[in-house]
Amino acid sequence: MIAVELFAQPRSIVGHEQLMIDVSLPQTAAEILRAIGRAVPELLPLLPSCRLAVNERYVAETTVVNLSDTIALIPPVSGG
Amino acid sequence: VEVDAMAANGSSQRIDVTLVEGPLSISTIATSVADVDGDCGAHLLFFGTTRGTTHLTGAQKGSTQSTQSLTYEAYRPMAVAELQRIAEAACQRWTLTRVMLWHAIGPVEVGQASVAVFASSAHRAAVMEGVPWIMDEIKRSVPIWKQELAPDGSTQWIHR
Repeated sequence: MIAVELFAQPRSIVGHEQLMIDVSLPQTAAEILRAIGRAVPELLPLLPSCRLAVNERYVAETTVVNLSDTIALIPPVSGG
Repeated sequence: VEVDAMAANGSSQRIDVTLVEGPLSISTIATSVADVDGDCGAHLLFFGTTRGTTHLTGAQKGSTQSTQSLTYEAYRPMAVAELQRIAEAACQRWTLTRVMLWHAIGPVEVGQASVAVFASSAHRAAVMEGVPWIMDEIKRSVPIWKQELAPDGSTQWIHR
């Protein structure tokens, strides 16, 4: 199980600041996004516009995520 | 203004980025930028405030939407890192000698400030081109989100 940090609408949908998903690491960012969708189907409409951040940096879908990494789901931002 | 503990000072003294709890104090920010570099002839301070009325576009063109307040949430360590990256990139691209960025976290009422950008340079063209680019980048990449509170009490996360 790995923890994914949640913010804004995904956090509201899940009801927690973290989502635990059943994924074996190392794994690509794309596979982690798919696993998030399998764990919480209510997030599926939003996921295509979300990015994954690993250790507080945006990553490409092909980036490999390791066990020691901090993972966050970043929905479209709206600061300013 | 309560300055967030997450505020980061850049590796260069030219850059300062800060997350602030609650609305930004425009007078405090104006005071903090008043001590200008004597070798710079151009200084630009931009701030954005919560707008009470939005004129809708597209299929809803012609109608308006009212806002009572906005509440901002951030992925704080990454938001500070992204603000720092944007400030450093702007300094290099436009030869800015000073960039200061502030963003509010938490509730910001209509008319109160949520974001501020200050830049200094030798000549005006650099700040007048650099500051809009900084705002565009903030809206594109900094992990901060606004939740809108409507007059009827309903709330909505803004993800666009």
